Formats: sequence, C-alpha cells, structure tokens
Amino acid sequence: MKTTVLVLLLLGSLVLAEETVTKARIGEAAPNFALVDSEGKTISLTDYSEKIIVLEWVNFGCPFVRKFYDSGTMQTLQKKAVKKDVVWLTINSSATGKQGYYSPEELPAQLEKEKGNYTAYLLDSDGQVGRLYGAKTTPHIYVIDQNSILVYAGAIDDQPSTKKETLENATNYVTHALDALLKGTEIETPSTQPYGCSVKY
Amino acid sequence: MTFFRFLFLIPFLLFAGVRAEIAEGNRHVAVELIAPQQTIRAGESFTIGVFFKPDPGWHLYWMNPGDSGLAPRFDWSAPEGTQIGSPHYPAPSRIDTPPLTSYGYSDSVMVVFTVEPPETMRQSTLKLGVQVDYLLCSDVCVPAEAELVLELIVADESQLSPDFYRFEHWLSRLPQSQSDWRIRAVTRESHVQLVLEPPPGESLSSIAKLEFFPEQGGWMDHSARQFWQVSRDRLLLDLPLNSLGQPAPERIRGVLVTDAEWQGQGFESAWVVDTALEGDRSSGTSLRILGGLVGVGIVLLIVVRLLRFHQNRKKDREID
Repeated sequence: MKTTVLVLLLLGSLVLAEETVTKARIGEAAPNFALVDSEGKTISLTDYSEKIIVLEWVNFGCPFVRKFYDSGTMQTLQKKAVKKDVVWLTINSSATGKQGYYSPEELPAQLEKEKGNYTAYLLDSDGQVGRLYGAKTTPHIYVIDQNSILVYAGAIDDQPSTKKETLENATNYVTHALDALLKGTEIETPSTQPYGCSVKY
Repeated sequence: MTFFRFLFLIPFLLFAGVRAEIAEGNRHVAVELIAPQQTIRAGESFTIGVFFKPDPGWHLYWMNPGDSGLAPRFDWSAPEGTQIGSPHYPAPSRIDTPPLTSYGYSDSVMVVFTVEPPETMRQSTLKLGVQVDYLLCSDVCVPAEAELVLELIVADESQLSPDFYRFEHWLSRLPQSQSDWRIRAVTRESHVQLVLEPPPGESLSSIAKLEFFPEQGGWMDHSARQFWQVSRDRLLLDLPLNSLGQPAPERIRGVLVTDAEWQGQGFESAWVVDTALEGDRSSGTSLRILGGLVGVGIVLLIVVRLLRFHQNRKKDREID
C-alpha cells in the first residue's frame, strides 16, 4: 500500500514538474560548469559571479575561426573585453583525435602561436559543456550578464563567410551585446543563427 | 623600387593561407554553369543552373545550412539590363554528425536561376559570369570557389544544349507549391506544428515519409526527430524548437519532403511551405496547471482513502 502511495505521489509531482534538463536557454540563468584550463587550473562559472562572461567555442583548424584569429580580430575583441573587466572563456570541445584537439604536449605551442587574449582557454574534449550550451559551430558565442543570465547566443557577426574581406563591414554581435550590458541598455539582438564549422564532438 | 614592389606583394602574402585552402577545396568538387538551350531570345526569360558534384565523402550546403556550414554565395556579372533571380535549390538531405545536423547535398546538385534578358539585344551573344563561393566539408571544412562563364547565342530558332536532359532532371527536382493541400503552422507549447489537410477523398493510410526543412535557421532543433501522426483526416507534423529558446519566425517557410502524393510507390516529392505562424488556441500553460491539479487530486483522494482504510482497521480492531 505504501509503495502504491509513493508511486502515485511521484507521478503527481512529475505532472507538476517543469522540464528537469537544465540546458542553456536565452533569458534564463546560465547553467554552471567546471572545466580545466590550459594551465591545469579548474575554472568554474561561479568563480566569476557578478561579472559579464563571454563563452567562445573554438577550433583552430576551422577556416571560420582562422578568419578571426589570422586577422587579429578575435584577439582584439578579447583584449578590449577583458580590459573592461569582462571574463572571456575560450572553450574547445573537439574530441580527442578530431580536428582542433591538441594533446597536452602540443597545446602550449599552439596557444603561443594563436596569441589569444582570453581570460582562460578551457578543455572540454568530452563535449559535456558544449552539449549543455548547445554549441553547434566554431565560432559560437554566448554572453552572460552580471546576474548570471544568458543574454546572447549565436554568431559572432553578421557575415557568414570565411573571407577576411567581410570583417570590414561586419556588425559584431558580441561588441553590441557587451556595449549594451556595460551601458545598461537592452540587447537588440539576443539570438542569431551561428555560422561556422560543426563542433567536432 | 624594391620597397614598392614589396608593398604590392603584401595583399598576396596576407591571403596566401586562405588561397591554399581554397585550392584544396576546389580539388574535391566539380562545378559547371549549364543551360538547357544554346540559344535565347531577347526579352524572353530562361533558366540556367550551377551544377555541383562533390567527391564521395564531401558535401555542400542548402540555403539554411542547419546547425553548421555555409550556403553557397553567387555573385553574377551580366550585361546591363539583364536580371538574374535568386537561387532555387532542390530539397536538401539531413547530414547527421550527432549531436549536430546540417542540411545539404552529399551527392550532385543543381541550383537554378531565372534570367531575364533585355527587350532589345544588339550583341549576337549573351555572356553570363558567376563567382561562386561555398564551403565544402567532410569531417573537416574547406572553402572553395569557382569562376564560371556561359555564353548563349541570341537567335530566333532554338537549339538544345547537350546538357538539356541533365538540366530537365534537376529542374523537376525543385520544390513545388501544393495547391490541393491546405498547409498551416500552429504554435504549440514546445514545438511548432504543421497541419496538413489533404484534398477530399485523399487516403492518408500509407504515407511513410514526412520531413520539414526550415528556410530560416536557428529557431528549430535541426537534429531532433520530427514526429507526425494522422488525426481527424489531417497530418500533424511536430517541429521541435531549439533548446536555446530562439523564437520561431512570423512566417514558416521551407520545404516539406513527403511521399503523400505517391503513397506506397516510394516516390518522394518536395513541397514549398510558406504560411503564417498561428497562435495556439489551447494554452499549454493552462493544460499543465490542469494536469497538475488532476495529479494533486488523485494524490489527495488516495490519502483520504488510506486514512479511512486505517480508521476502519482501527475500528475493526476495537470491535475485535
């Protein structure tokens, strides 16, 4: 009898319960995670509460990522953001052996070459955080506000192309989102379709 | 002098890396600009196509590439007064690399354009050029590009081109508007539902295939399975929303691939979908509250029954 009651209680609460999966969703609290960075340090989102956070999905072998790193655009964006006390986390979800994955021996030389100005470069080779945030492309950008709310997800700019010439007249969504957050105004475009190579899960 | 020569070289040096990649991309695909006729007439519109044949294992993308990738870009050059329309693509296929799904073509494909030449033409030929920039992917991606030229003869008598049959084959693969069926899109709580009403007398019993490809990316979960069912002589196809919560557009545009017209014969056709997204009449939230209340009700009922049962047992014992 007791078991039946328990089962029914459980069923009742299931009907009441919202979706239990806490996947990232625009306008809602950004799901927390902890990843090891290129220096071997464990970095968690909660380390940076009350700060603006940018998540950038990266794969240095992808021609779309190359457009931003070879032209210095990404490094400049990162530098400007970090200067304004924004936390910039570059995340690599390439699985072991896939494009963009570097062994612990190869990684330092690669990062030295790329000259990134991020706060930390995070390793997610099992793709767990990538899946949690629904990261689809490299680059794929997420912006989290001072109250830990996900306020932007999508493309880095409005020029889906691998060509460097397109950088010149591009509207950069990350710059727009960060400017709005720092000014305290509304973000005009909270989501766009990301473009780039697929994340190599 | 040497310094100036060096300055001149800088742009080439800067783009050398990208050039090498493009050259690699071009190695994995054949691209052609073809027409069904060798001849055209002044003032009479005609169609031409850009034909791609990627090597096995490589694919290119549809107008909405899905989770990743890039649609081809076509930059035309044509004599003044000649208008070239927007690209028309055959229905794409799903390209699954779990958990991601792209929309594109792993086999050959032709993208069709309508050309409107000027009313009066002095030249004996019309020369059309196109610069195609596109992305080619296997498990990795490489940019590719092609510069294609096609010269057509301006003449009164028409002459078929050697590409006529190939062209007609691809032309017949373009999605068609479906006037017999009524297609609506309705907002549901966690998805958008396509409601397909067949013409009277149409049997829905042996339909095996129903899949929608959205023209606008981002709002739909490209990789999720699309469930469908027959309900009150209509087909209901559920389009799951992206987990990030990007809102669905006001109009649902895209291509529906189905065997509904050729039931049981294994033929698929592609239909154009372009319909306003309607609101949901039965609110999902109130449904959930109702569900919750029913759940609580059942639990309360059980508790009351249980108490009574205990009381009765107590009474029984007291009687004993």
